[in-house]
Amino acid sequence: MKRLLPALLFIVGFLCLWQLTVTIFAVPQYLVPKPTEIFARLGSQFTTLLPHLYVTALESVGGFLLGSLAGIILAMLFIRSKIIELSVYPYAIALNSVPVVAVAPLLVVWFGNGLLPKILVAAIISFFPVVVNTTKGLRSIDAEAFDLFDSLSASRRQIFLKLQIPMCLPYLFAGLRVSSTLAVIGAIVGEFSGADKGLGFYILISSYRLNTVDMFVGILLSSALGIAFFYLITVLEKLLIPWKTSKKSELFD
Amino acid sequence: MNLREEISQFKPAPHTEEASVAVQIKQLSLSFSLQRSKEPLRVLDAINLEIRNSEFISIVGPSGCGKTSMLKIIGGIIKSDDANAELLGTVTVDGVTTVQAKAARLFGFAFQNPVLLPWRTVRDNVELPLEIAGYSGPDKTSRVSDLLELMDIRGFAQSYPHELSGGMQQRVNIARALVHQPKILLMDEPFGALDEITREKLNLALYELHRVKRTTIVFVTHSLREAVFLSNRILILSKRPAKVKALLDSPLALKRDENTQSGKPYLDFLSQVRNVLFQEEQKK
Repeated sequence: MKRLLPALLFIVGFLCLWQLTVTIFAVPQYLVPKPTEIFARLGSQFTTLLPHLYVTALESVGGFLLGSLAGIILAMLFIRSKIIELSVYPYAIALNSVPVVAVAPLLVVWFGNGLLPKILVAAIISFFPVVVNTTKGLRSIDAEAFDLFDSLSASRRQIFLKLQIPMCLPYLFAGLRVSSTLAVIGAIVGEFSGADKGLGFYILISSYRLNTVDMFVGILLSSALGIAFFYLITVLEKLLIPWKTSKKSELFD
Repeated sequence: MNLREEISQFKPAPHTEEASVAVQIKQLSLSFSLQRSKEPLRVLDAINLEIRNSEFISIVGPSGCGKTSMLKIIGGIIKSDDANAELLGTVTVDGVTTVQAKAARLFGFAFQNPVLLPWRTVRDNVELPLEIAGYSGPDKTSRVSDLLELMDIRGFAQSYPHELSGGMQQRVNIARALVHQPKILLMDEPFGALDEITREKLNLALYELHRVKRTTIVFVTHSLREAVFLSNRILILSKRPAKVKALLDSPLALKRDENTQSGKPYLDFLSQVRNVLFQEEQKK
């Protein structure tokens, strides 16, 4: 709580400064609305916003699960087979440099206006951190640890379950944490390229109407979604790998 | 009978058993084929050795001479069908091949790096070999407890490895290496990374353990003092490719304690080992 306090004070101070500046210089609402107006709108529009939030959350979570699952499976294949790693790993990395914004419209053409293209965009964007981190985690295991299991005549399955999986969990979660926020970005970007629901759609429509207050509300909610998602993964990490907690993760304690 | 009683009532095993052979090494040579170089790296050269049951034998030699490789060959970790290792000669453990012996879980390994699993408590780490072997005998918990007691870490049973000092971690490492009651304990510089004081304490603990358990111990070390203090015999290897330079019987009494290291037999034997080891270098 002691750590949280300065951060809270900062944001309150920032919002006050914003409110004051906008009031004193009489900035028009369509350019920069006052924080009080944004929060008031958030309150009054909440029931309208909820379905949009729900859709974006669904797309993010779906994409996150799909992307990370693909990443984990691929990382495991890399460890199993050198050939697969040599032939596929460069492209897995190259995928990261493809701008997702550029791919999103194509996915809409292919899969229509529904949930699927957004889930795919979110999956593509969350895939990369997971595959890279999991591969790194599986690779980082000490040769002596393998010798130990070998000397005990452990089966491949035992090595996998009792050594490799737990050893790479901290790395996997480092990837998942990054992916969780990226997945929300992916979903929003997907909605920009064609949607009739979701926070991205809401922000886009509001911008056509020059309704800046609604845009801010949309931005605020999508950020909240990303933060909540990130926090959820952090909590899960603490539960699943308690032996790590005393060492790191200064954030959010 | 609890462990303390066991220690106090301990009588040395009969001599006949001591003399029987645990590991037989005949004309053992090892080379590694390295990538990019046509010339294979010759590591061990025609080593002959008989390791006796219940003895404590140390292997010393210049660094990089192949001590660790030799230990890994005995333990079946480096084997003849490994892609980049060329193994000649025979190594038998209790009359069977090293691979068979490994499958029968006759070995306990303790490396310099304790490789404790960070998500397991001390107790669960020690239990790992039993778990891998699928052992579920009624004495499962008591076996672990006895070893924790013997290594003097009982109070840390529920601690996690990162909460322990390096010396404590090594104690756990040794306990784990013994929990499945291996016939031979293979130790690769287990105390190499520890400070002098911790090291001496662990030397005493290891001596005590060997005295009680009579497990055959093959001990690779860089520390001549340690080797002299602990061993019944010392194998001295030459520079790579390593040959057997000497195999010395310890003149020290079987009983050893804190005072051993200031006694004349100890110091004489230490300088003898040192002389043999450095002979070659002095000639050149």
